[in-house]
Amino acid sequence: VTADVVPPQVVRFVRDVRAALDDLAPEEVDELTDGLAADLADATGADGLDALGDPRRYADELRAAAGLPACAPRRAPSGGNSLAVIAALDRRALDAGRGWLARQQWWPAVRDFLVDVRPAWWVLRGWAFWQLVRPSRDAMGHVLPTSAASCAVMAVFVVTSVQLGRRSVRVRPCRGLPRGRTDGGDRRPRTLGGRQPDADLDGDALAAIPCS
Amino acid sequence: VDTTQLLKGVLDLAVLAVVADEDGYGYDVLRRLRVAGLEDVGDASVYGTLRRLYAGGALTSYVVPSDEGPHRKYYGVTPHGRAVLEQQVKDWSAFAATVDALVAGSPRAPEEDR
Repeated sequence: VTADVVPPQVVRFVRDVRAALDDLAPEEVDELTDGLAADLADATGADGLDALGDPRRYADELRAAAGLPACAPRRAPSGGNSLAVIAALDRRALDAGRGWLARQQWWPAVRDFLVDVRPAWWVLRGWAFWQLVRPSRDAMGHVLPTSAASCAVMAVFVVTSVQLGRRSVRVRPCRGLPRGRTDGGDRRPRTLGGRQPDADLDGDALAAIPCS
Repeated sequence: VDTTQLLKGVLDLAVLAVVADEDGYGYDVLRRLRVAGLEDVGDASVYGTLRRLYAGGALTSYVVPSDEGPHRKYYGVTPHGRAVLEQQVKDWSAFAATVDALVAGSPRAPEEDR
């Protein structure tokens, strides 16, 4: 069976499946859906377009079999919750750059580094906000607060920023479980939740790893 | 017996065996599983299993471009995958033999024996 041309329904289906996986890291989505269009074009060629079914359920089955945790439905940002709104805006801005970044050779290494230093960025962000609103009697050029009150205010900003960061991590609980090696070379078995994935006959056990 | 549950337990083994027999892309592996008799196997389950086995180092993959259509992602077994397959075949054989013996030893339900 050869698929010379992918039917538009298949193209749409693959797009919907990818959308249902968008809580995962972009490279994980790529890895899960790479070659899927050809596979589905063959399947629909043999069994007709009815073979497609529901893209969301398809995505769930795909991620469960791949050993990735099922994701809770994403929360829509509620107007009353500024943290959620900021997190959503954050995410939208990230999404815009993702496609381009995912195609860059150097990105996986840079991404891993940035993820590792994320807490430092949260602290820095708190400090930067404090710089914007600090009392004018703290002379410009002072990097750190000069009074106890000013120190307390900065602490509030830093703690808020870190909490915001921790919360945004929790908003995407399914992110990045089996983080791919960045060299693309010799792949050694990775452990998922401390278990050897391929020495394990029970796919359910893998799918049941709690989001953390 | 709930065959979908049984299938879940042996899907890694079945997929590894099929790919070890000959490299294949997603739909090809699915088709060979179905031809072999696993008709109820879901395509997303097979594709997800291929990705997981690949991530675990049991499979290697390469892309075969196509002039007209989308590229196909082929999978092959790594030496590590062969070792995993060998172990899983042993585990399965022992398990199947145990259940066979159990079933052969009690042709009737235990309640009827009392």
